[in-house]
Amino acid sequence: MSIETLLPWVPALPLIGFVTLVFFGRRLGGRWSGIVATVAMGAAFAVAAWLALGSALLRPGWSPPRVMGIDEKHVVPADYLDHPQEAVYHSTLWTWMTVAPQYDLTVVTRPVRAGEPVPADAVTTIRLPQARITHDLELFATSHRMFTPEQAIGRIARLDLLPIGPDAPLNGDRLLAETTLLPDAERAIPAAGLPERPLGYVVDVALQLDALSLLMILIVTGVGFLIHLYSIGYMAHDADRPRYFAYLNLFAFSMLTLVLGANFLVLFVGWELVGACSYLLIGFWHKDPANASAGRKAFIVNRIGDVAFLIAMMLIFTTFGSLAFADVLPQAADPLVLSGGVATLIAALLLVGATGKSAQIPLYVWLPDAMAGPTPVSALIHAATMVTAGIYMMARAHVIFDHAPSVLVAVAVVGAVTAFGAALIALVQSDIKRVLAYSTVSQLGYMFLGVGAGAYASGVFHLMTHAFFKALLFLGAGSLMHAMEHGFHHGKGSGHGAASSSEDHDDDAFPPGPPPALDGIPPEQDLRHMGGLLRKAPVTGWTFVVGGLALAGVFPLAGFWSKDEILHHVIGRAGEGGAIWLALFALGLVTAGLTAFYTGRLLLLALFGAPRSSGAAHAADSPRTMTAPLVVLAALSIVGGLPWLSGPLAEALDPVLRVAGHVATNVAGSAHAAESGPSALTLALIASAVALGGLALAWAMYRPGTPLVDPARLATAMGGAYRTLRGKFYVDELYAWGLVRPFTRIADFLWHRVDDGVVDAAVNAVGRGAVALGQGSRRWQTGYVRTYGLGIVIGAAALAAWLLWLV
Amino acid sequence: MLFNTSNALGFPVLSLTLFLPLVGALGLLLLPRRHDALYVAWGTFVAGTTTVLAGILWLGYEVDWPFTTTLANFQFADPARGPLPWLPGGVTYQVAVDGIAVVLVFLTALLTTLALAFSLGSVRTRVREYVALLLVMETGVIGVFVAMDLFLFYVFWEAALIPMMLLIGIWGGKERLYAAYKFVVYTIAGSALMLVAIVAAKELSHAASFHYFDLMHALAPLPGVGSAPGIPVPTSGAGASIIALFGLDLPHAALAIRIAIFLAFALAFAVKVPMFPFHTWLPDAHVQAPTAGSVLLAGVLLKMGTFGFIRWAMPLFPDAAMTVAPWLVALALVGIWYGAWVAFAQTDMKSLVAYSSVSHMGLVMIGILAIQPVGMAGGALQMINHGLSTGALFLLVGMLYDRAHTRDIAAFGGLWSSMPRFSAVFLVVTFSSIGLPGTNGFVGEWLSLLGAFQTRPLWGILAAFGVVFGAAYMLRLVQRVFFGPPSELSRSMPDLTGREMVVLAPLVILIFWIGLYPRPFLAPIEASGTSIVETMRQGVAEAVAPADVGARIHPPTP
Repeated sequence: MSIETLLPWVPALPLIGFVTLVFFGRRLGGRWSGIVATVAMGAAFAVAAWLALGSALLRPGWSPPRVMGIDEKHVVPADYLDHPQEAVYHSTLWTWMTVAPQYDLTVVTRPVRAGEPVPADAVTTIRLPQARITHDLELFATSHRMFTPEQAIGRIARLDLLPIGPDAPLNGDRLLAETTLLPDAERAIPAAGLPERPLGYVVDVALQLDALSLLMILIVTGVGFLIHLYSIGYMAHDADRPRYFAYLNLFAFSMLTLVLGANFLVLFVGWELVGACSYLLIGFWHKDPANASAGRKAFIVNRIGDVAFLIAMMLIFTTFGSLAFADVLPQAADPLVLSGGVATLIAALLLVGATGKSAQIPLYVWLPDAMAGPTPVSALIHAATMVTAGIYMMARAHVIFDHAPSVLVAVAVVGAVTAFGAALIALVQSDIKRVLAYSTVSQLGYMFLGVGAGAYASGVFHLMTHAFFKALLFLGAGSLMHAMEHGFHHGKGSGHGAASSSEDHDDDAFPPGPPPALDGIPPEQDLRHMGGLLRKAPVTGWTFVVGGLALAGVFPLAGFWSKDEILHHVIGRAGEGGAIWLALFALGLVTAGLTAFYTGRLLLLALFGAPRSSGAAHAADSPRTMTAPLVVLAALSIVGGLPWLSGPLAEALDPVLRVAGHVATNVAGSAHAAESGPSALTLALIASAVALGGLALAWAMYRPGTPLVDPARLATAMGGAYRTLRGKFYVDELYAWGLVRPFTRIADFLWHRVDDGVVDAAVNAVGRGAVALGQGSRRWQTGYVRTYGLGIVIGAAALAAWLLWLV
Repeated sequence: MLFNTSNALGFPVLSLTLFLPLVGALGLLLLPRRHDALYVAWGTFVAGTTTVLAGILWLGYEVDWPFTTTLANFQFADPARGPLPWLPGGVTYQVAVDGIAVVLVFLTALLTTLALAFSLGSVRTRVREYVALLLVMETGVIGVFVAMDLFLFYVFWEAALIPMMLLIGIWGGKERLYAAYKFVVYTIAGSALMLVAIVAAKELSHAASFHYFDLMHALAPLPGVGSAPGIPVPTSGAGASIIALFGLDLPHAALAIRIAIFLAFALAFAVKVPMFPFHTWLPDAHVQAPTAGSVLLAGVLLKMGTFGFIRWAMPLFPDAAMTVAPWLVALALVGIWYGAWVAFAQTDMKSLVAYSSVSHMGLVMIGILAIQPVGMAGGALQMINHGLSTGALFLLVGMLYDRAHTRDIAAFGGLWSSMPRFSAVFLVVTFSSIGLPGTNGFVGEWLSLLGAFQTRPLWGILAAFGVVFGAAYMLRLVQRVFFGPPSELSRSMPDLTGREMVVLAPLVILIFWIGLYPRPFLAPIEASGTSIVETMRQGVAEAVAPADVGARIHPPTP
C-alpha cells in the first residue's frame, strides 16, 4: 500500500476504537474496553512506525516522492517540485467546505482564424467566480465586439463542458487552462477550461505527512500506546472504564488529526477536539464538582486562545486566499505576498493561541488544575502531547514567524518568563502532581524559548525528550500513588504485609488508613506523607529517578541534550548583540538550576529517607502492565537525546523547519550560534554545573537524616516569598477577582437590570401605552349616531382638503 | 430564459409538500373521537410523509448545472409555466425553492415530525387540536420558504403565527396568556409594518405584480434585462413635498425611499429573528410554550426572519441593504454578546436556551449582512445548524421536564450517573451549540465569521468572542445539571426511552453529518447564496455607474 493510503489509518484506528467503545463499551466491560483501546493505539503506532520506515522522510539524501512509486494522482503540488528537499506526502480525503468557487479562465481576445495558432498577445486570463462566469464572459465578448450575448451564451455553454486534455499545458499558475477553437469559428472564441481544483474558498479534509508530523505521530502513538497499557492496570478498579478508554482513544484521534492536518482548519479541528477531550478527561470523576470545574476552566481558558487562533486563520485566509499549508507557507516566504505588518499580526495571534494550548503566561492557569484528572491522562494529555500542540503549531507555521522578528522575541520572552515563574512555584508545592504540572509549564516555556530564538528544531527536540521523561514522571507518580494507596489499605493488621513486616517493625507507629488530607491534597499524592518509596517500589522508584535526572538535565540523559541545545541557540543570539537575549539566556540558566533543585527535592522527599505515613511504610510496587511502560519510557529518557539520534532527527526536520535565506537575519541565532557564543563544550559544562548545583542544594536541604539547611526554617525566614510561591503568585485569585467575578456580575446586571428593567420594560410600556390609547379612544364609541356623524363629516372634510391640495 | 424555474419531476411536488400537512390537519376531523395516540400517530405520519417529500426535493435539487445564470436557482416551480393570478391587484400564486429554501423546507418538515413524535404521551389535553395546529403551522412555515409572490409570502407569514400563538396560549405554562399575547402583539406590530412595505414596494416601483421576478425586475436593475426604472422619485404630491422639506436631491431621495421600505421589512424580520433589542418576547414565549412549540419556534420560526432578509429585503433593495448593513451588524454584534451574557445568568434551562438563540441568531445575521458569498453560505447554513442544535436542546429539556416537572437548573446535578445516555446526547448537542469542530455548529460559525471578517475585520473579530461566551454558559449548564453529586431529584430519573432515542437520533446524525461532510447541505445553499450576493453587488454597481466592463474583468497580472 502506498503511504498516502496508509496515512489516514493512523488517526482512523483510534477513532474506530472510540466508536466501538461508545456503542459497545458497556457490553464489552471495563477489561475488554481497555484491551480494545490499547490494541487500537498499538495498531496506530505500528502504522506510524511502518510509515517512518517506508517513507523517505527520515533517510538522509532524500529523493522526491515521485521516485517512490506513489500513484500519480496524489503527487505533491508543483511548488514542492521546485524545492525537492521538502518531502511531503498528501492524502486528501474529501472536500470539506466549498463556497463560491472561482476559476481562472484563459480567453482569446482577438479574432483568430480556425486552424491558426493563437498568438500569445491575444490571450488573457481572467479570474471569475463560477456564478459570474457566463455573465461576465458575455460582457467581455460584447465589449470586444465578438458576439451578441445570445451567441456568446450558447457557445460558452458548449465550451465549458470541454474536457481538459491529459497533456494540457501547465501554466505555472497552478491552473490547467485550455485554449480551443470551435470548428465553425471564423472569429475568436472565448475558451474556458476548468482547472482541476477551483480557487476561492475551498477547504479539504486532508492529511499531510512530513518529517515534523511523522515525529509527532510517533510520539503520540508510541507514548500513547504505553499510557493506554498503563491505564489498564491503573484504572483496574474504576467502574467507568469504557468511558475512560473511549475518551482516551478520542483524544488520540484528535491529537493525530492535529499533527497530520494539511491545512490550518483541519489542524484547528484537532486543536479544539483535544481541548474537548481534555475537558472530558479532567472532569472524568465528575461527581466531585471540583474536578468538573477544573475541566471547564481548562476548556474556557483554551477557548480564549482559540479565538485568537480563529482570528489568525481569518487573516491568513484573507491574505493568502487559502488555508492549506501547501498554499500558504510557500507564499508566506515571499515578502511581496506577506508584508511585515500582516505577518506580525498573524504571528502574534497564533502566539496567543499557542499560549492557551501550551499553558504559557497568561493562559497557563488551567494546566495545574488539570491534574484533577486521572494520572495517566495527566501524563498523556497534560505533559506529553496536547500541551505541546502550541509548539508544534508554531514550528509548522514558522515561515510566518520568520517574518515577524518582534513576535519571535515575544515568544522567547513569554517562554523564558513562564519557565522561570513556574519553576519557582514548583519549588514549594507538596502535591507530587502539582510539582510535575508546574514543571511541565516550565519545560513548555523552554520550548517556547527555543522557538523564539528561531531554533525550531531544538524546540521540537525538547518537545520529544520532554514527552519521554515527563510521561515517565507522571506515570511514575501515578504508580507511587498507587503504591501509597495500597499501603494505606493494606497497612497494619491486614495480614498482607507479612513479608515486609520484619523490616518495617518500626513503621507500625503510624495509625492505619490514610491520614487526613492537608491543604486539600489527597494523602496518597502528598509528598509530606511519602518517603522511602525507592525500597518499597523499586521498579517505579528507579525509573522515577531516571526521569527526574533527565528532567534535571543531568549528562547524558535526554533532558540534558535538548535543554542544552536551546540554551546554546539563545546565547548564540545574544552574541549578535541583543541584550535581551543575554537576559533570556540567564533566565534559562537560572531556571535550569531551579529545575534541578525541585527535581532533587521531589526525588528525595518521595523516594528516600524514612516513610512518613502508613501508606509509604506498607507500599508495594505496581503490577507489570504499569511498570513495563515505565521501563520503556526510562530507556527512552536515557537514549532519547543522544546525539546519534538527535543528529539525524535534526537533519530530517531541516527541510520543514529551515529558515529561508532572505529572512535568516531575523532568526540568525540558529545559524551562527557556534561562531559567536561560547563553545558547545563550555556551555555543556556550565549547564551541567548548574544542574548538579541545583541537585546538591536539594540534597543539602532534603537529604535523609538531618538537613544541612533546614527547609522549614528557611521558609519561616523568607515568609513572604514562601507564601507567595505557595499561593502560586495568587494568579488564580487575581483572575477570579478581575475577570470571573465581573463577568458573572455583569451577566446578572444585564439580565435583571437591562433586559428586564430596560428593554422589556420599554416593550411593556409601549404595550401599556397602546392599551391606554385604546381605553381613551373607546370613548369615541359612544353608540350615538350623532357622534359618528360628526366623525364622518370631519373625515370627509379632511379628505376633501387633501385632494384639493394634491390637485 | 433568465429565470429558470424547471420542475424536473413533472408533477407539482412542491405544492403537494406545502399543502399535505394542511390536508392532514383536516383529515384529523375524520378520525374517531378520544383516540389521542391515534391523532399523534396520524400527525407524525403526515409530517413524516412531508419530510420524505421534502427529502425528495432536496435530493432532486440540481446544484451543479454548469455556469448558472444569475438567479437561475429556483426549481420545482409550481405552476411551472408561470405565476397564476390569484387575487386582484397583482397577487399571484407560484411556489418554488432555491437552494436555501429547499434545505429549510426539509428542516421544517423534519423538526415538525420529531416534535410530533415527541408529543406522544407528553401532551394529554386537547390532543386533536394540538396535532392539527402543529400541522397547520408546518404548512404556514413551508409556505413562507417557498412563496414566490411577496403577498403570498405575507399570507403564509401570518398563517404560521396564529397556530404558535394558540399553542403557547392553550398548552403553555403558568404565564402562557401573557407570553402568547406578547408574542402576537410584537409580531403583528412588525408584520403590519411589513404589509405597508409590501404594498409600497410594488406600487412605488410600478411592478407588474407581487411576484419575485417582477419585483426584482422593477426594483433591482438586473444586467441583461435592460436597466430597470427602480423606484421613480415622486415629483408631485405629498412625496414630493416631503422630499422638498428635507432638501434632498433626487438620487438621494430615491435611496431614502428605498431605505425606508427596507427598514420596514427589516423591522418585521428583526422582531422574528429576533435581533437585539426586539428579543424580549422570545424568552417568555419559549419558557411558556410546550416542548413541541419551543422546538418549532426556535427551530424554524426564527428562520423566517433571517430568510426574509435573504430572499426579500436584501435582494430587492441591495443599495439600501448595503447602506443600513453596518447598523444592523452593530445590533447583531450586541445580540451575540448580550444574548450570551444574559444566558450565563439564567436559572431556567429553557430561558437559557432562548437567550442563547439571541446570540446564535446574531451570528447568522452577521454572516448574512456581510454580503459575501462565504458569509451568506455560513449564515444560511447556521440557520439550519441552529435549528438542529436548539431544536435538540429544547427536546432534551422537554424530556427532562416530563420526568422532573421542573426546569430549574439548580434542582438538578449529577444526572450523568442516573441518565448516562441522555447526558451523552446532551453533551453532543452542547458541543454542536458551542461550535466544536466536527459538529455542524463549527462549519456555519466559521463561514459566518470569515464572511464578516472579509467585509470588515472588526466584525469578524468581535463576533468571534461569542465562541468563548457560548462555551461559558453551555458548559456551566452542563456542569450544574450533569456533574457533581447527584441531587435528590436526579437520583431517580430513568434514562432515555427507545422512542426518545428514535426522536433524537436524526438530529445527532445530522449534527455530525453537517460537521464532517456538509456538501449536500452547503452546495445548494452556497450556490443560491452566492447568486444572491452577486445579484446584489451587480444591482448596486449598475445603479451607481453604467456597466463598465473593463473594471470588472481584471487584466492578467504578470
